Amino acid sequence: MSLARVGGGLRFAADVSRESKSVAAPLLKYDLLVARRSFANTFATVADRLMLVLLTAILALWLRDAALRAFPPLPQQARMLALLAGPAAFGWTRAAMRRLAWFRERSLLASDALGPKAILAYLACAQLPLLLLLSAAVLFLGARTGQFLGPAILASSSCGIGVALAAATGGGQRSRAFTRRQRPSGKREGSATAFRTLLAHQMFGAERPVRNAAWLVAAAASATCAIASLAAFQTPAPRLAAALLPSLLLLVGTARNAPATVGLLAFAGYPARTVAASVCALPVASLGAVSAALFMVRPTAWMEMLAALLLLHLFAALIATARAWLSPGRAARRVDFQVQLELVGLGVVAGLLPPLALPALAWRLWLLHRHYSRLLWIHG
Amino acid sequence: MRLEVEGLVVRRGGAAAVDGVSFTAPSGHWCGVVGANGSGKTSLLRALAGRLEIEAGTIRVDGADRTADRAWRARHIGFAPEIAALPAALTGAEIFSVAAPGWRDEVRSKRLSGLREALAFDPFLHKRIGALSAGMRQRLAVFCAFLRAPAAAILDEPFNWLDPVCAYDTRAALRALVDEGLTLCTALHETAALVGYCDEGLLMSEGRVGRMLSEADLERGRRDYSGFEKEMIAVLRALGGPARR
Repeated sequence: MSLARVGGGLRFAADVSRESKSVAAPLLKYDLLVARRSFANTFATVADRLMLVLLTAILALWLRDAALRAFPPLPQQARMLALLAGPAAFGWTRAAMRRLAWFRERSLLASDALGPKAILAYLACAQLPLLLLLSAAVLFLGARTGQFLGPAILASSSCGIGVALAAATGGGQRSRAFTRRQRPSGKREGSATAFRTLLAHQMFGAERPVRNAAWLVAAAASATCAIASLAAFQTPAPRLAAALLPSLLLLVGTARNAPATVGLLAFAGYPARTVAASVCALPVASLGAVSAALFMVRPTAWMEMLAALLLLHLFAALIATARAWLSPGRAARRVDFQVQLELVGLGVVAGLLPPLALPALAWRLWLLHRHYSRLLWIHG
Repeated sequence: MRLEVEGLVVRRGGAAAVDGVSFTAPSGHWCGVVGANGSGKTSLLRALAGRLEIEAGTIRVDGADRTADRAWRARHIGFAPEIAALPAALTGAEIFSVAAPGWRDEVRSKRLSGLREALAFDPFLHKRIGALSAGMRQRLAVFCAFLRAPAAAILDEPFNWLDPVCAYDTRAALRALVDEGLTLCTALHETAALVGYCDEGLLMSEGRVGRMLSEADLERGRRDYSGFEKEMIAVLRALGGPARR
């Protein structure tokens, strides 16, 4: 590729970026302002800022340590990058589409969010942080191995599939309103209410959440078996990655948190274990179905697949529990931000002092459980 | 601004939240929408303000068909956001500046001086929304609808959470704006506000207009409010579905 062509491409990209920014400027300006203020408010006290500095220093040390460690072969790293890029792009794009829907329906900037150009521009600009992160990962891999093209192609295709899937599913946005005719009148008691309410939220407000969840779980189990049995995946790593993909999509797609609902459940006296069991029901059901299906088909290396699936579902259940227990009294974004911080912290502990990882996890879960349970005192 | 709505249908979650609503609001006219919770008031108002998609029907603004142009309606019809949509991290002044870059001129304008005095948000304009009470947030939200100097405004239950004095002053200030030519549509839960300030009323039930209240009906209500309120409650009870009968 000649330098002139590269220059032309860069100029085109700059023009597109400039136009995107001008069309979507009010929306982006609003989001940046809210993000800046939220960040400043979150770290308003000296203690908060000190914690941020400490976390940053630990993360920097961990990154330096990781960079100095012996490097696994490139294909493995590139596949891992591709495996992460797809779901990340899927989730990120859905979040951006949901945000746009919010702008259109409930914000002061509805007129800015209704133009087709503004929608495309906002979605394009919203991808920038993810693209920057992926580019940094590709550059890091390239610098260590001397190969840029392979990881770049794998990551960008996976990213493209994630974005296309999110666009095809409409960003998971479904406008919902109850009229008097539809409003449920029957009163349900017990933990079944919590389970049904939270599952319905995970299933995007479906009328029959249990049936829909059962279909999804069955589809994921069938897809896992079909993919695992394919002759095309004869080498261990691609087979494992492909076998994880349906469950990963299922878990990411249904990983919706409902802080307001969980807050209400806490206020209504539902104990922490009921809420945790409700949000973990789908990962547990999915793990059961996938395990049973794999056991029946028993493709090559099914035990390894089972172990990987167990870890994946356990991780999903832990995240769901942490988000639910953190929810009372917090906004959705703050819950997600804090869970990310918890994960970074646990990751650092696991990286630097592996034996302490499990006790640290148990300690954090206990603290989150305590945060949730504090609201139950009202009910004695 | 003259709003003409004909056979409006808005679907939400697969069901018709608004089902064939028709009415006309001429310039300098206050249309009050009253109905049970879940009767479709908010969906109707949001659809008018371009916040929701319309499945069928037409919306004409000053004779021009603006049904398909949600962006135009969102830009030219003032709309007060619900207080839950105001970001807790920002101040009122920041929200105003995001909604309308020239907000300072609009706040100082003579046209809005009455409303600004009624809402009296100056003492907390530079405080974070998260630190404000529901009534304070409502005052800011109501004013947001007027930042772009619209000829029509839509307010969904604007007097909720306001203290009695502020609610009284705000009703009077809005009426003054309507008398100067503003077209105003508000969802209301009080028949007193409907009778005292509106030029027309829509009683909604199950997404439909159960009964239209003309200027003459409301004038009759002003003369005998007690009798009118009893009549309205009886009508709303009858329209309100099985739970109210």
